[in-house]
Amino acid sequence: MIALPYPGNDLVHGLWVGLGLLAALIWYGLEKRRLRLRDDRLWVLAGMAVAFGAIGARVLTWPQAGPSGYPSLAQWWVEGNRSILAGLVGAWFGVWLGKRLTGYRADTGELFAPAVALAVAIGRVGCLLTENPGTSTGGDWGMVLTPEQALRLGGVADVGLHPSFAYEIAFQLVAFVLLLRWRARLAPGALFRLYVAAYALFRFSVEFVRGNHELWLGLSGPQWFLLAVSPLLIRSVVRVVRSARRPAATPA
Amino acid sequence: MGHYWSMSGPDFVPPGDRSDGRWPSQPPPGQPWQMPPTPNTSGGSLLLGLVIGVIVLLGGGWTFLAFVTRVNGDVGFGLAVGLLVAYIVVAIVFAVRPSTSRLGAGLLLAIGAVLVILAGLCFGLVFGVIR
Repeated sequence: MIALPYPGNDLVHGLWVGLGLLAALIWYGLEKRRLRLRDDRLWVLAGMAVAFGAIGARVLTWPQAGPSGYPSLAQWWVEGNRSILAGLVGAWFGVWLGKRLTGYRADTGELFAPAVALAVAIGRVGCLLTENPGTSTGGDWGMVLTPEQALRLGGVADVGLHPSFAYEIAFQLVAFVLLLRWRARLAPGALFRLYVAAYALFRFSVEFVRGNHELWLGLSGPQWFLLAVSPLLIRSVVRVVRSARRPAATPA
Repeated sequence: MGHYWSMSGPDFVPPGDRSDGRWPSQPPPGQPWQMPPTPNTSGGSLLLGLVIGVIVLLGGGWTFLAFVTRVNGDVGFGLAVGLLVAYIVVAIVFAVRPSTSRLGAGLLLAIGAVLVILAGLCFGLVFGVIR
């Protein structure tokens, strides 16, 4: 069993999230260059995604864990819950707003989808090193917390715990590779929609071993959020499948 | 699945950029592809915008308000939120103008950098929260 190396260490967490963000932006820039996309509005869209993603990651968790449990609003802002799902919603909104403000209408899924997968894969290393790993594995394997760490992080001590963030890192890395392989075969918009739908499905599943607080009927807040948006995700995937079945345009 | 005009592979034809941001679906029939004119890319410096943004958000406003919150926490936080909103509006204004689009993009990226990476460190140092 593996001990949690940096329990509750915000510095380590922040550094890995920052590395993820940096890697995603570098990837975005390299792809932009590879595709010979010179429109500066693409950097504006990246900026909007990052800004609104960062804000959304904190603000959109308000329904789940608002500031009432903290001595001050400032301390809630710094120490309160942060959510990848909320960040993705914020980032999506940022890109949507950016496209309307700048008039950029082309699909940007091919640029954003792999970058997001890369950012999350790297950023989740910070979570793996610092946060409550997950629920009990029921066996002598997994990550383990000391009683002090378990008390601080809200976990269970001295038993093997699912390394749920490691599962997510593996998912994101596989997604990144598949996105690179399929980007030549799918329309950019389809690529991003399929990635989001796949991540939603994965995230719903991994929540059962994540160790998050159960909100209602045995499901956590993120699971209820994913259920709520599932009609949109299903509709999105159906559109992708339908457009894929239409006869493709053939080159002259 | 059918094949779309892809952005990579042996049949790669650079779509280039058009001022309206539309992706061309296929080249004109019977005509060789010609790279469209390079759009204006002199929108300032992305890196400069990022550096200025980090300095303004962290070195100027955020650290100052971190001390203000010691006196009256919620008022100070409200001021911080107001400043952040004003900063976002200014950044977006810069971003949507072609002559300053990169600078504006850098200012927006700085929000992510500060909120995601640096704010926690800064507040941890100021309030002794870092464990």
